[in-house]
Amino acid sequence: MDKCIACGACTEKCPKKVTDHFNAGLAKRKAIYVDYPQAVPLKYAIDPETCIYIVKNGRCGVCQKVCPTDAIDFDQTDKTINIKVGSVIMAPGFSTFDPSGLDNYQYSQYPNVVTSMEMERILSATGPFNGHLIRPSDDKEPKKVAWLQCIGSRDINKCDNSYCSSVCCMYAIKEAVIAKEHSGGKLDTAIFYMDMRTYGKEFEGYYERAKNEQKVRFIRSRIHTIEEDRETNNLILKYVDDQGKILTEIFDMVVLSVGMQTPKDVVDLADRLDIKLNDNKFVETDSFNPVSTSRPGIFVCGSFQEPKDIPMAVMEASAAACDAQTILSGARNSLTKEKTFPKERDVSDQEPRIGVFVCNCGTNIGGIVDVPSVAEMAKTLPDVVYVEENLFTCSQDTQEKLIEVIEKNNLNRIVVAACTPRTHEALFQETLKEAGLNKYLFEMANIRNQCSWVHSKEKDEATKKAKILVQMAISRARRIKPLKQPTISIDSNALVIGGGIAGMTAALGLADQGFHTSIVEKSNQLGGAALKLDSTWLGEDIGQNLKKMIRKVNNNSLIDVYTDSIIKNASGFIGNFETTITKSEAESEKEINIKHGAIIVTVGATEYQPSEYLHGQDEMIFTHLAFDMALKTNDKKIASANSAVFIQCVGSRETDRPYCSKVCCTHSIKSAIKLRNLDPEKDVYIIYRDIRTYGQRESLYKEARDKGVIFIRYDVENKPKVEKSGENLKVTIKDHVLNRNLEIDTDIIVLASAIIPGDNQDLAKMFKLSLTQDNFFNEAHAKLRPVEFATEGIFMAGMAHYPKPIEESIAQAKAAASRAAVALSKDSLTVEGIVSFIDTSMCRGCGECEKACPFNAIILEETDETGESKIAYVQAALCKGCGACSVACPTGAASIHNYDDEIVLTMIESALEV
Amino acid sequence: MQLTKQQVNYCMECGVCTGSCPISQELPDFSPRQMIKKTIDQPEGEILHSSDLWACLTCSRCSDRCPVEIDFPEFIRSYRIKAIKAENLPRLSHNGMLQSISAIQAQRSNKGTQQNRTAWAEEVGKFSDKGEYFYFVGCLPYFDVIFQYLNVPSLESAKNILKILNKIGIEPVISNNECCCGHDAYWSGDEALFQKLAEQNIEAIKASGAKKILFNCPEGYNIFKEVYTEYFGKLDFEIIHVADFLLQKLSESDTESFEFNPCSNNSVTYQDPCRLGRRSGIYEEPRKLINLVPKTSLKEMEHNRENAICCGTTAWMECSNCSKVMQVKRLKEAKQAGADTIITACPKCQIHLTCATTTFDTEIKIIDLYSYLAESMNIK
Repeated sequence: MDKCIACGACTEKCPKKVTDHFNAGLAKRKAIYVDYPQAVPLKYAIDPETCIYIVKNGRCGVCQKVCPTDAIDFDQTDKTINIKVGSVIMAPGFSTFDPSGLDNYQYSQYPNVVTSMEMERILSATGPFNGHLIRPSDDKEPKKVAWLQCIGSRDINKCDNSYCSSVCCMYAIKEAVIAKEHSGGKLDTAIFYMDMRTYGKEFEGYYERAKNEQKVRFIRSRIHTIEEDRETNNLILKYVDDQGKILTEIFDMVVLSVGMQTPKDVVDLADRLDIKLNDNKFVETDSFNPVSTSRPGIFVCGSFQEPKDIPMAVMEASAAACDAQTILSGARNSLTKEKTFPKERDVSDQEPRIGVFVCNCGTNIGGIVDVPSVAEMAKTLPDVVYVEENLFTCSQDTQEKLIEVIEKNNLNRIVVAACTPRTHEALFQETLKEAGLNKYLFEMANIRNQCSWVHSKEKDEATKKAKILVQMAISRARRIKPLKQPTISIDSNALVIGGGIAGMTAALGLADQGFHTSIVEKSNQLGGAALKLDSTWLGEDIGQNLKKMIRKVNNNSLIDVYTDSIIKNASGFIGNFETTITKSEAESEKEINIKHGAIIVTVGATEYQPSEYLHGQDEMIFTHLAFDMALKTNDKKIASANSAVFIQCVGSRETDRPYCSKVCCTHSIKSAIKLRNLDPEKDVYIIYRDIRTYGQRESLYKEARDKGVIFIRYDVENKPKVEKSGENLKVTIKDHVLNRNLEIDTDIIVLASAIIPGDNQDLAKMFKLSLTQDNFFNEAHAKLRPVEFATEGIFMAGMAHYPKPIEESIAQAKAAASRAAVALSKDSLTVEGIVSFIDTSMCRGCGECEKACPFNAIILEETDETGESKIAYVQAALCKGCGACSVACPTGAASIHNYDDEIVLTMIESALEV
Repeated sequence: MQLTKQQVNYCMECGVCTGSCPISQELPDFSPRQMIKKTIDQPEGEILHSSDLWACLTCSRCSDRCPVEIDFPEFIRSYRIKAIKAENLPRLSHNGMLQSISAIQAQRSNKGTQQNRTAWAEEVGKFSDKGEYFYFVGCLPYFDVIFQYLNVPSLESAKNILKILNKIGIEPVISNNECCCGHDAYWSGDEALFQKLAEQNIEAIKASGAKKILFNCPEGYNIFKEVYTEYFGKLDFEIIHVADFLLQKLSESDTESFEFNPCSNNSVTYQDPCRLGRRSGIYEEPRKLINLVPKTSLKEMEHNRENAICCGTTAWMECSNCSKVMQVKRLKEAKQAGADTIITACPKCQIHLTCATTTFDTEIKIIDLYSYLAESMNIK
């Protein structure tokens, strides 16, 4: 594998074509292949089940003959490797539901019925049709496509998956929107669904835009059968609409939005590992330990725990890492080895002596580009004292030779003309360090990707371009200077802002790994919003668990708790923050300074206090939190009530607050069940827009219906009306199936009022954190970095990020602790050399660089007390060397080491000279 | 005009230049006197590689006072030509964008690059291709785009001038073939670029048949008057500053037709641009124009007229901490004079002083002379 340079010659010559499973069987690949285009490491592999050499005893071997690096070894066999570990994290993933067995959809028979996974590949630019939307039966562009939701989910009749797969609503909308984009907007798309479950952060907005802007049609109806027109292979759907009318529509293509399930071999694996699975074949976990399996030391993350989307899976992955790190914290770094390098030669006073190495990359470059003439040209350039051609400059033996050549010729700048610095720069820089040279005295010219690959048909032009690139690289090499990589010490303490469940979990996660943590809590006690909650959807008592958690925090010697405290001032950067907190005491205020290396923001959210539905005018009208408090305190109002109505989406999914508050459906249904359990004679109604009991919460929905809770749907245009009628309350709602008004007399009303962000502006300003339009904190990347802020060293968890249930807050808090621990566990931080710097005499202190910096690396500092004079200052530890500051700077005061205007302009000039 | 060695040798070492220099005030190492003396000693020596050569604002405060009339700005300019050959280059502000724009304009005729420099005028008033008057707009359409980030509405002055001209019955030529006047190229030592630009402008003016050219930009006015004539001999058109022109027109016409509303600002002050004041001798006309507005309380800053201080940078280069300090001082002077508005007749002064206000906590507004007039004339 070390030898493979991913040139692709083997695949090109391999005679065996087989089905490409990565492309959902829609395309063919060779028996020697790369699994998918983004594979890391990018290495070719032989499929032993189809390779002719392996299957037919040596009757092929073409790949071995054409491989330029001798990387193919047919003698490799499966090996069993024993590893001793302190903990195990299970992330085996899911398989999609196979709809072939459902004869009402005829997936196996009708060519134009595809699964959503196949649709993903059809729409993908790297897929079987290069992203061109065509249908399988005749390769023609479809004009009408339908998506059918809940195939293999929320179904106990045709399959055993009663749960909701959580992700299908969003991916179906996404596929419909992308399909429309790929077809230039002419495509008609329809999504047939039961409840639209767009409960995640920014999801509801996406749904609304798909509906109103992209004109995706949403039809609330489950399709029972697909029929096919045998001549055209078009598909006929018959369904009943909201008004009870039977409609027939013909589609060119139907996509089955298949659900997620645990694969059979994973179920067997769980059995071997003695991990308990639940009836749905997902790992059994509890809300307060969301990534712990039944077997201590074994953790779970991702869809093996429950169907979930990417950000939640990423959070859980980091949470599992946090729990694993806690067990392993004593062994941290006990197996790491540090590499040592010779002392760096000081070349700052020397004239440049450049060594140029031109790579043939086997025949990859050499077969197209005239490498000897490129090398000859390099010899003629100023300051070049050594030029060499290599078959593979990146090979191990060439590295050793490079060190020798550098020493023998006293070279102090190295130029490699080969492939891309993205994959190879680090390797060569390491070689420079081994030769005692500063790693920044290096430059690469990419004469493979940019010459031989893209201009393979124009050999002369490719050679000419290679010469230009090499000339540019050399002109830069003449001007670059050795750069320092200062190290900054890291303060291993952490600060957690907010002492709710997320904050306490984060603090415990860090303290259990040995990091001292301070919790700053605005109110006079720990616990946050959970103090008012009754039980989780799984029935765990929140009060008891919360007490346990608070006790753990208070008893942990590594955790300092500051209640009645707020953040007053903050400065610094990753590893070196300094924060002043103000603590209110009996009659005075105290200021406390804390130094810390990381920050976790867990300031939570609050409950919207509705002005609608007579809230506040009748003591029998509750919000969720008020209702839970009443339950906790055994309020007689609840016990004596003979009927209850729950109204959903109060203040959520409306123009002013367009997001879904995520937890309310589950909470109302759980509460409704509780009421029926208290007294099965109570009449309980839930008035809803979409029931969003995602994942296994769907079981509660089923239970509630079993227990006789009555569900009535309403549209946002026809909201229920609440009136007082004598002593009682009356709710009037239009039933869409019966198409007439229903009047419900009820004793109590529970409003599922929205979860709204707290006053996050001040904190956002102080730490330069960004907020969403809804005022929740904005993560660095919605999918892949769900607990990090764009500013390094600052993390978030809990409802400050978005409304979420306890188990998700805890997972996210553990994840934040895990990510913070990555920074805190280092002794020091090495700053990159290629960073921005400010020529202070040129700086006007205008702040354009500060505005332009995407990493908050630049701050304006006052140079005197009047505040009239300011100068920009680069916090090198945060700088990524992107150069945005340099572009924004009106005077030229900001520039990047080794990439200043002079160097870049010289490179451009040299390109124009050839 | 290139300085002869003898002219430099006139120096009596009195130090009036360094004492007057606003740069020397902030950067004590910068000394016009020393630069002269060093050059007498070594005419092609250290000075060619010195960054001081580029720091000079050519604001003419020194030459205006020199007892032996050494033209220090000209001395600097002539050495800049040589310095470029010695690869001693200035640090360009705004990433060299404005220099690039000038250079592109100079290639217009052979590369076919078309400008869009009259679109603004179509929206506000009447103008033509041919006629007696030619309104030389200068770089305002470019500034208007580039300095949006500072909220400087550079085109406002041009729009208001066109409206006022229309009001007094003049439909000037505004030409899409006009280009950068070459002032900055000239003062940065790039004579070839200057000459190319100047030729294009003369051609554009000739094509319009105009005989009277109106300028509002002090740099354009001054470079036409001082340098175009030197390079191209007597021009067959008259070079008029619009402040001078408007003062005549507005004063001679009966006041009935031009009603001025009282000034809405409490008190104002006037920033003398270097090229209009010291280099062209126009000090009083702008002040008289300001005073046409009833109830104007025109205050004078401590440094005014010949003594005025430059806005901090010239020719879009070498903007620095020092420029900022000069600008902040100027803003404070205005405040001390009791003014809450600075009126300037130069678009660059407007940009530079506004830039300084973005980081310096001040209430002072900076507006251009013609917008001030137009507002009072109710034609905005």
